[in-house]
Amino acid sequence: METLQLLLQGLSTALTPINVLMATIGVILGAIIGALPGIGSATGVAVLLPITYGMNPITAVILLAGVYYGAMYGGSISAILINAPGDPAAVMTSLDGHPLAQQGRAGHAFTVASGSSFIGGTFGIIMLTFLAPSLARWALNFGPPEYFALMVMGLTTLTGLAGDSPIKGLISTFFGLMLAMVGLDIVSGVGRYTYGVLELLDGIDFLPVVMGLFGVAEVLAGMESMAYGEMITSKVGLRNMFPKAREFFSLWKAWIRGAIIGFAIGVLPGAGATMASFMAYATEKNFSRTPQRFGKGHLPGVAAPEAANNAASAGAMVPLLALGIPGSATTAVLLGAFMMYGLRPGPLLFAQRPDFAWAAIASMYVGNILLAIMIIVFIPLFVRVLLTPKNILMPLIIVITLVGTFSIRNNLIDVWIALIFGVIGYLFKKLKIPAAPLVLALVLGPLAEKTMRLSLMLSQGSFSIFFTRPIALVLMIAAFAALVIPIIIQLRASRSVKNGS
Amino acid sequence: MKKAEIITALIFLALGVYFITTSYTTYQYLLDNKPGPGFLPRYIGWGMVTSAALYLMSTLRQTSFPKNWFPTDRAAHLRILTIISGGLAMTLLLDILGTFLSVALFMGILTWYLGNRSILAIIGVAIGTSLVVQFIFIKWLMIPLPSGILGF
Repeated sequence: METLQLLLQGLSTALTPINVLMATIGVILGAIIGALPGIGSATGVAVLLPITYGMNPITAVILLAGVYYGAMYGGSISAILINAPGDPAAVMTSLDGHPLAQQGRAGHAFTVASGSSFIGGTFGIIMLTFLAPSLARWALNFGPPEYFALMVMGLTTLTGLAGDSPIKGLISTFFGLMLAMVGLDIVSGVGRYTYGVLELLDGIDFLPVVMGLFGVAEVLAGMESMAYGEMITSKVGLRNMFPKAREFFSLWKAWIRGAIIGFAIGVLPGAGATMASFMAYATEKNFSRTPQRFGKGHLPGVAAPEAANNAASAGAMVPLLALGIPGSATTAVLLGAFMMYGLRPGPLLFAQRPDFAWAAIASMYVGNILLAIMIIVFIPLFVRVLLTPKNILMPLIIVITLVGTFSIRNNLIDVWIALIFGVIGYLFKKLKIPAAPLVLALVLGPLAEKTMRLSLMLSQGSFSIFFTRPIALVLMIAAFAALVIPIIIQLRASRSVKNGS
Repeated sequence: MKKAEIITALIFLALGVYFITTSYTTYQYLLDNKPGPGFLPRYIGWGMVTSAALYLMSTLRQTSFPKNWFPTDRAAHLRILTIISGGLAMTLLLDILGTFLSVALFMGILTWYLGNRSILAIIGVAIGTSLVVQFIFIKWLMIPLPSGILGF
């Protein structure tokens, strides 16, 4: 009952005209960004961060959350029309979405994707509403050792699951932690790794790093080829949008399965929407009486992954809001954004800033409804966006990224950092080193150091404090397992490939 | 790709060694018997050295690497280099020419270089982008951007 009351209060904030406007803008921008091949939700949120800098934090987060789930849907537009998913989470949508477009049923694929995203997203947000506050209440009992263990767990889970190789994930994490060490040490007042550069005494701000890793790097990768792929534009209009009602509503089983799988996977740090959509598609195919139709333009092949990836994006907000631990690259960027506005996601957020926490959750309900409406109304616009030539789009993203980075502190050094990390991010991409653990380590590094120092002061320098308190011990074991299990799986897989060959 | 991965592993290995060294030589490990500024960097350094060594070993043991992992055609290299150097030039020119002109020049030159040959389209994109940037950052968000010697 209390939860519903708080949600209603949140809705009263989320439904103010400015917040509805920002949610609408966020959803549309997100869908446009998501539709552009190769530019995912993390890039969208990162590039738009500076624009939110002068805004009220609640309004800013409503806009960015809109971009997040707008992009999750937007990825399906390019997946269906040009078989080039705008976001990795939309890869599975392209398997049946593109054949549907080839059969002249692109509009039907869009409506199914939109309806499934709405249902998956709504399920995820309802679960988030009830799960996040309970989790936050439980975590209120945490002391510094538990917090430190929680941060270690967040880092190891993202490290273990992001990218193809846990070892590369580790490299990215430690590099992020190294960057987090730059700046004034709060206890001793010593400047660490600043090399006499005054601007570095404040540390390396996460924003220019994120702008470089996700904004500039994506453009550099996009410059490898000037072509998008062949687009199917026929029969994408309002008249051809809707499949028969019976055919549409027969997808209910795919929606339920997709939403449950998506949310459950989304809650796990590091797993994310991509894994959710893969699993939902595989499950749907296994449950189907006509598995042979999958991959040839079968509507459940669009419904299940779309329901899953939107439920997963709501699921990823659970550890972010309740524990302050992001579960994906986009939520890692969102965590940095929250901190930029002076807010610290985690258990205390619900206790100290319930207005913010509940407005953010309530705005997701509003944004989800807006998304479902906007997608149908603006589909011709999104299709037009895909026709934007790369020779305009790519320089435009660079301008927004670099001017946006500069605008935060009016400091050219931030722009240099963004450019340097753009090149690093591009090389990471080429070498398949995931960038998300770096961002998370950079954001969590100073907090982890602070809680570790406090814990060691409590224990008079003994590390046993992390292994003798029950919750800290469980979290440490989970952290260890999250890192070691993917390594074992990878070793086994490489051995079986060797044996097979 | 193998060579690139080995070089990357060695760079990270060197970074790790550097962090360990500084935690012994430059920053104190303990301060009044409490963790000092060199405390965590030492563990991070060891963590990086271990990870980089594992990365190096797995690369050396690996027998097959993806082909065409990096673009091979010269045009792609030039496009990537142009966009980086264009970004650098725009940044350097912000204080001298101001945001409006720097952005317009960057957009105009890049749009032309990347294949658009219509002068009207290039001018439209260059000025349009500059106006949008001015509107969003200066008028809407009221963030002062460099105006340069021309004053806008």
